[in-house]
Amino acid sequence: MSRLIRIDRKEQTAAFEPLTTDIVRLGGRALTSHLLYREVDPGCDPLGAGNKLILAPGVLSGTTAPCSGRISVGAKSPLTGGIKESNAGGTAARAMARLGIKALIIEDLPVNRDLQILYICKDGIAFHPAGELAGKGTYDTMAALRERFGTKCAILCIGPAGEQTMEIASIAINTVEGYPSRHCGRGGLGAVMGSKGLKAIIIDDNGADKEIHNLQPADSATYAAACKEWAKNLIETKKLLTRFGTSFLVDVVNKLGAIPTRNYSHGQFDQVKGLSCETLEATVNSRGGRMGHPCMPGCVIRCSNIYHDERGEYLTSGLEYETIALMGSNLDIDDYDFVATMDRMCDDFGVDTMEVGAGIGVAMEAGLLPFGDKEGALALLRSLGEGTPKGRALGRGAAHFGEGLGCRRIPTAKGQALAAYDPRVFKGTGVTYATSPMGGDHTAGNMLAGRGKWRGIEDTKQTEGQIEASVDVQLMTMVLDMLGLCIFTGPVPETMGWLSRILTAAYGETVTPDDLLAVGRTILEIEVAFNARAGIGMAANRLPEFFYTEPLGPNGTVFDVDRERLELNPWM
Amino acid sequence: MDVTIWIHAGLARDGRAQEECIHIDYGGSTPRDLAAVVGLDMASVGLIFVNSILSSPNAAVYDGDRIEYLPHLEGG
Repeated sequence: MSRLIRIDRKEQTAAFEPLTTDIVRLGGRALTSHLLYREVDPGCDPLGAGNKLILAPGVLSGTTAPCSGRISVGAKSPLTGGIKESNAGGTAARAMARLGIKALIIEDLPVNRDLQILYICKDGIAFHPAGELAGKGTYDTMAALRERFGTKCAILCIGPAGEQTMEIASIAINTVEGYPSRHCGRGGLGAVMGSKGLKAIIIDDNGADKEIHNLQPADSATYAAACKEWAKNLIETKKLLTRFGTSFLVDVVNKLGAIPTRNYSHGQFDQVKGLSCETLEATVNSRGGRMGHPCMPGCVIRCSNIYHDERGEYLTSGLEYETIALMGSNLDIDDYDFVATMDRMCDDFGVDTMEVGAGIGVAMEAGLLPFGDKEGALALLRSLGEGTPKGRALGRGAAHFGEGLGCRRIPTAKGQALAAYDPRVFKGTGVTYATSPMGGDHTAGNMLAGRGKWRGIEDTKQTEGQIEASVDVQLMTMVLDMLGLCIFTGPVPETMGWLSRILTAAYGETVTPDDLLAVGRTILEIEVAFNARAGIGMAANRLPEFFYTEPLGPNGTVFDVDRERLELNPWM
Repeated sequence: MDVTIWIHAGLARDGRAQEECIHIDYGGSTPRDLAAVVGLDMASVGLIFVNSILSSPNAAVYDGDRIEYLPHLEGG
């Protein structure tokens, strides 16, 4: 039987709670946002006693549904000041679901600042001291915890950035191999975990009884058959992601003229060959790394990779398009070894690679270091790990860092760095950046080229129809986030059809695509309402001025979607 | 007429980005026609550029043009 676990950090207590009827069918982002709205004062200090850190596996996590192992972490964000959910792969969602944990709610602040480990297994919950891990990076932390608690446990941990409550701190989750390379990266949720005095959370599902799993399908044979059929479809249709990961987007987004180059001053990168998917594939394969790596158990798309250094030794895992572009073309650098080293450092310090890439980009524009300066960029990031004043400034996020440096062109929305799709070309994604309660977050509804045809979108640069299409994709993304599914399964109508079949078998009653979208809309409205009460109203639905006024080469376009409508109520 | 064709690695048969100049004896070709000439499955093509301009599969192609085929965007 599923239940909630509530951890009180002040009293050092843990309690199991039965599910209330309003949350029985929620999971992932839908559940974290619902609980935040129900339990957290939107006006609270994100790092204070009133904020709560909530972890929730998806509705389908722990089952045979393909790509369903995402875990959502939610809280009021110290970066944006609004509601936040960030999800990642790794092993934690499956372990929680197998233990029948619908959500883990961590509230209040500890009386003293001694770091602790929260350990959860089928027999109970315990707190362990973690003083010896203070200041350690996620790689050393994860290795020490695996030695202490075993290699079969799921581990979530923070690095020094989280301990220092930096606004861009992430939460690392281990892969099956034990690498701390999957991160709930966005919105500074690692800082919230740090404020709760937790260095790590261990989910030990050894010996978990199947009877307690979160979801037991009403029609298990039909459920299994539908999942199997969908998995086959995903394997067949996502071959490009399996082979190249998201690195194949480098060439394509560059060709479309939307890859951020030298702090979003151009849309094409003249040294793009150095960052191409073929270069990555050749480098990885020649050094004994691996393409087609699954970031979580049960993934059939396998878009991750394992990157080795020149000596053939493991360096990092999961080089993705966003990191490649924001650490590469955005900084005028075409060197995969540099990008991989930066990625490793970010993972180890426990920070969002996108905020770091955007932050160094604005630093280069402001003249703190020149574009293309690899050594300078590495030194700046190193200073974050060391906690120097300059490093801590970078750790506050691109928006704060850029403002402090006097930069006028800072690519953020609601205080969060944009992803690597320039909104002057990807206008639908620009609508998502501007309107999402999550801030500048492509994972809230990415309007890639080819999406939105049902709204008449034929070109990412067209203006008409982008608001409607973005809202559609945001709602479908919410459904994926609720179910614990990777967004690479596709926030598109075809996917809603598959999920309708799977959930109908799971619940033993008809669930239509419209039913799913209705839940998505309800949760989105809750998030918008939370933000309004936090002081982030519709007027915050905007992008930085230069996106409206500065034409982006080579297309010469600006972000010209109906601004008034975005700032009044795009959801209607 | 002579045109240059570039195919993204994710679409090319040998898995490497492919560029070739091809000669066609008749006029009135389109990117769709040229795809058939080089054995490219149009169902796997997501984006087509003619001389760096996003174009439809049925756009007119002229002597000296460069036609680029890219896959559907996924992930992100």
